[in-house]
Amino acid sequence: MSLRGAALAAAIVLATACGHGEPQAKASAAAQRGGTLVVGAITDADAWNEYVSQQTTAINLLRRIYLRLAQEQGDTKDHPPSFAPLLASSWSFSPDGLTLTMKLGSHAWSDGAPVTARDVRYTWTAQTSPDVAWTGVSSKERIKDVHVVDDTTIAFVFDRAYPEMLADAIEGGIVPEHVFGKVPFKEWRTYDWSTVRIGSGPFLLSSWTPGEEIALARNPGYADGKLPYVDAVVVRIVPDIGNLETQLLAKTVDLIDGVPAADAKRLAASPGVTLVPYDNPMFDYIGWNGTKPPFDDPAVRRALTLAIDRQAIVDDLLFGYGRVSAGPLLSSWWPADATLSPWPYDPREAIRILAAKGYGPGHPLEVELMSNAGNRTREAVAVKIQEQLAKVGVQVTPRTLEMRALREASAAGKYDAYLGGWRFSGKLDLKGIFGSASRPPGGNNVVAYASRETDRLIEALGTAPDWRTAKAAYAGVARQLHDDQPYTFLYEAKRLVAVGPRARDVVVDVPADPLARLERIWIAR
Amino acid sequence: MAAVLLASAVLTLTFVLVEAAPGSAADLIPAERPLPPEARARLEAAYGLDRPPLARYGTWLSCAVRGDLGWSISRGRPVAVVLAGALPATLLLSGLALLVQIGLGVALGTLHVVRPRGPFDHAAGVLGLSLASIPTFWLALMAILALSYRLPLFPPSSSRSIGADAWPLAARALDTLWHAALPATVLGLGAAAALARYVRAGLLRALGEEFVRAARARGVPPSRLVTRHALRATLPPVVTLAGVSLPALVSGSLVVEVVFGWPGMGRLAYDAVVARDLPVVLATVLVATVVVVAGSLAADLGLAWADPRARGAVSEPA
Repeated sequence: MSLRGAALAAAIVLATACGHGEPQAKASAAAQRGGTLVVGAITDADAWNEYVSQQTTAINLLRRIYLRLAQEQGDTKDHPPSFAPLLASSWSFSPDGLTLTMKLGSHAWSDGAPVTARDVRYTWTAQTSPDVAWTGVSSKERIKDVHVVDDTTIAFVFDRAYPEMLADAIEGGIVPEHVFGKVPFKEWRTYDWSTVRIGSGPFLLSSWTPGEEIALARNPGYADGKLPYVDAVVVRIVPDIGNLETQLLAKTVDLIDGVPAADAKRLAASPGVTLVPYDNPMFDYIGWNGTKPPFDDPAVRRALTLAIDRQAIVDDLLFGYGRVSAGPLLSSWWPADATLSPWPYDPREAIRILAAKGYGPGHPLEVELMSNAGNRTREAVAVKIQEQLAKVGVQVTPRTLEMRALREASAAGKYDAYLGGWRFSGKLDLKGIFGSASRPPGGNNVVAYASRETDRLIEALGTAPDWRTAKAAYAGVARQLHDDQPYTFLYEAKRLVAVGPRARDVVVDVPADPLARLERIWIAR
Repeated sequence: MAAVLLASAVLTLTFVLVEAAPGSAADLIPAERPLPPEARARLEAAYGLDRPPLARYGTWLSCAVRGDLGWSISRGRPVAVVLAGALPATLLLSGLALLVQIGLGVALGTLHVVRPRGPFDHAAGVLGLSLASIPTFWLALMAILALSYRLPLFPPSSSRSIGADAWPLAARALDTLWHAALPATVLGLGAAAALARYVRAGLLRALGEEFVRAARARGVPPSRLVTRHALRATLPPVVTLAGVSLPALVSGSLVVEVVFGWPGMGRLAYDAVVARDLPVVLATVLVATVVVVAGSLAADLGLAWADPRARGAVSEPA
């Protein structure tokens, strides 16, 4: 949160009577139809086509306009997520496990045309077209072909069986061939998709005023006649989070996603405001430059990890909305190994290891720690780490760089350490981040980590036929990374949705999709 | 001709500076999502970002001359359409702020001299100094707190009410003015304080002039002396200042636009720079250059209207 936002929020809370927010009504039996839900957002949409857009604001709304074949559920703790039918009513795998056949339900586009298997195949050709250049295309790399069996039956043919086949097949909203097909793929990235007003989901794009407002209207032809509960959703775009929080307190905004943890306590104390924390599919880390001594030494990296009190960072800077990270596998995700504990905070052991490596009071280890400008949490974390490592004799110099400058510096290997984070939906590209083939130039393994054992385990992961085998392989990778510490895995931060008194039944149970239940939110009048 | 050369130089410099900065518009993808190198390459190719910088600049320039300002990657629309949405909003905000600046600045400056060293003079001095010292963002936040939250008289953000599109034209116009009132006042207040100092100095100088003393000798009342005689003589520098401050109001509205969620040029330019959306950056710079030239021209014309002595000077080549 900006300084001015904090000042305003603090002033508002001082100006209002303190009290506890009322519990959010959860019983959908009392749901009322009608009204307009007003959502506050600090960023605008960039394009109204999921395969062109890069912004989560647009993508989260597009998912309510162009339905997927199935909806991922949030039950990812103990096994891969289950899926609820959306456009597809049922599905099954062939005996060899290589063909996934899906049966479409009775759905229609908002112009009255039926949603057919040809739309599904057309969408796949768009997703994989180099001209469209969809950034999520890696989810389709194992799909060899998509066959139209009949108007309502579609078959995905994979080159091999693996646990996330269904997740990959349903990734991306289905678009109507009879409308989108009029625009050649080569022109998709320079076409104004806001002029296209069609959909299969509960909402349709009603209007878009860039920089100001997005309006969605109820789709009268939506398959579930009872939903959505609200007539319209209006997204107010205001870059200043302090202003949005004011509007939440003034009851002119009903919901804000991404409220800073620093404001959580103050907002929760305001009458009628409820906070809904949810698991953000992301972890933050320190990347150590694996090409530069002494950071190329796993023992030194381990010592540095031992000297950082990550629980204190979670408590003091995330205000408890997070947990210490043990590795790249999120604790709320089924591949996570519950037996793998984060390295403890042990400054004495850190001093011993560093002394064995020749570092001490007479010869302190010096580290320049980079973070991206504008990310106030990471800037504060850098200062906290500076303070903690000073206790073991390590001199840290925090340095803030603009994000692209930081990317260039890290990709060129011109750094000691940097603060970063990885977000993922569905699965994490471990090969792209930790595989030795993904080292710079070009790859995302900017810490230049190289381990034959890790490469072998990641390869094994890629050929695991079922999720239990994959889980074991994931555990092996996590343990190897835990020992080698190419990153110091810092924390998994929760994300917060703030809900005003009018909005009811706000449930966030799909980590990468906070508006997944948008059609079930209703307005109390 | 000079304006064309100025615009060309500014545009070229802007292009070079943006190109020299790290990264490209392909980095619009959130940094936390791992993007395979081949996907990034395809993305750059799709937007033509893989072409040499000079070729891209040449293409943009030749298209701009024909009225095609290119495609905005960050807004998913033609740049001309994006500008057409943002420019009127900023012109309205800046125009209203200019009215606040001139109205309040002249009023405060006049109050200073009506009763020199009296309570009005002191109060106007304190008020002017306070307004000039308060940071715009803080003033904006306090205005929202006081007049949108505690006393909900004005909307805290945006340029229109929800659902206003369906209203009659007159209602929509009033609604927009209602939304613009608070940000325009905040934007104009700081500039008004500076203007008041000019007006005060000008009035004090004019009151010592012979034509004012002659009027006083003819028995013209003091208030009329100030408003009809001395104030007229102070108008030329006021008009000049107001004219040259128009570009500053346009470019300086960023903070107000961000805090109030006003969809204007300041935010557009800032967002475009952050997103490395070069066509939008160049177009906003072009518009800003035009506004600077137009502001200077307006100041010259205003000066000619306010001061007959300046008419000959304005029409003569420099």
